[in-house]
Amino acid sequence: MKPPTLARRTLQKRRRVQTVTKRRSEHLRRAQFTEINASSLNQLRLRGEPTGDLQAVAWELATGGEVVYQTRHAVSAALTATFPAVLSGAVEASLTREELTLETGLVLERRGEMPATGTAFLYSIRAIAPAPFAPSTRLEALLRGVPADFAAHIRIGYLLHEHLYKLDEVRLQGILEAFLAATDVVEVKARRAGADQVTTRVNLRA
Amino acid sequence: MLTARQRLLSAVLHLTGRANLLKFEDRLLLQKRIFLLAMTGVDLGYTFSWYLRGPYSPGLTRDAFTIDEAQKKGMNAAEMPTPHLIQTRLLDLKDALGSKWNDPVHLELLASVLFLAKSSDADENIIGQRLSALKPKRFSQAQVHQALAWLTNQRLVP
Repeated sequence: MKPPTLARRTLQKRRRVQTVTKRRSEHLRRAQFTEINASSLNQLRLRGEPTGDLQAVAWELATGGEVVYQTRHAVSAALTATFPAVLSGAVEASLTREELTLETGLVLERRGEMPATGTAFLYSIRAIAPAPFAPSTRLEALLRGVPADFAAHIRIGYLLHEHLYKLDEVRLQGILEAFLAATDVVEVKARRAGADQVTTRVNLRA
Repeated sequence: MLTARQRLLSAVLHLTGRANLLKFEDRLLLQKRIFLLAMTGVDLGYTFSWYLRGPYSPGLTRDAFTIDEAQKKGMNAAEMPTPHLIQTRLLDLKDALGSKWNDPVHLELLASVLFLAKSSDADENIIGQRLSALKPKRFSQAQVHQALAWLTNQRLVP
């Protein structure tokens, strides 16, 4: 028997793929799945219908059979994070200064996160004890290099979101370290201003 | 220069055991371990979507390769202390899994079932049906049942 030609082999391969795809679709129908894509999800959202359940089986057909999109929201919503503590919604936390610096860095790095959930956002860090806040010589030296209105807020113990997000990473790192070194307790507000903003009192331990 | 997340991931990988990123199974283990860790409440900021082998984060793979490259250049990113909470959660997870900690197929099953369970309020049968549709013939309903029982015992699903 002669071996199949290249054209015949290609045809056979294509038929195999079609058969597998057809079987898969039948399997899905039997399992009562709804094959949906981003567009149909949006239509459901616009109609105000719940999409959570469908998101779990949002099929990747539209993207060539690889990725399911639109699932993260539901999983994130179900996740109660205890780390980072500043995003956890805890009323009180005990962290070392290094841990708070790390958590701040992690949250700030998520600024360009897609899809933007709005939950990974630092609104402010306020020094609350000892009061009043007294900037150290080191912090004063670092503040010479930042805009006057930023420096004025930081001197009285407020690191606001515009400072956190607008200062360059290296400068902010130095300022944050000096700021935390001069305080024992801070109040961290996470998420945008509004109903879902969470405030955590962080006791800084050695 | 590594980002804060990459430095933290490097410290976490130091605890989980270094992965050989050239091996698919090691990458799969990495993905499922970090996903399970995330589900215990340790959010390192990775976005997980559903891929053919269950929850997967492209950002995690990118960071793992970046760390690997940095280490080849002599940077020791694992010097950063891992926050106590992360250490505890990681060791608890490792202990609970025992020898299965190094079993990529078992971790794929657990992570997949957990992902589907967290994505909706579906019951065990529906999760089983979904899983068999998403991964035909890969896992049986009995395996799904066992996975759900383990996840419930670990309080990862209600």
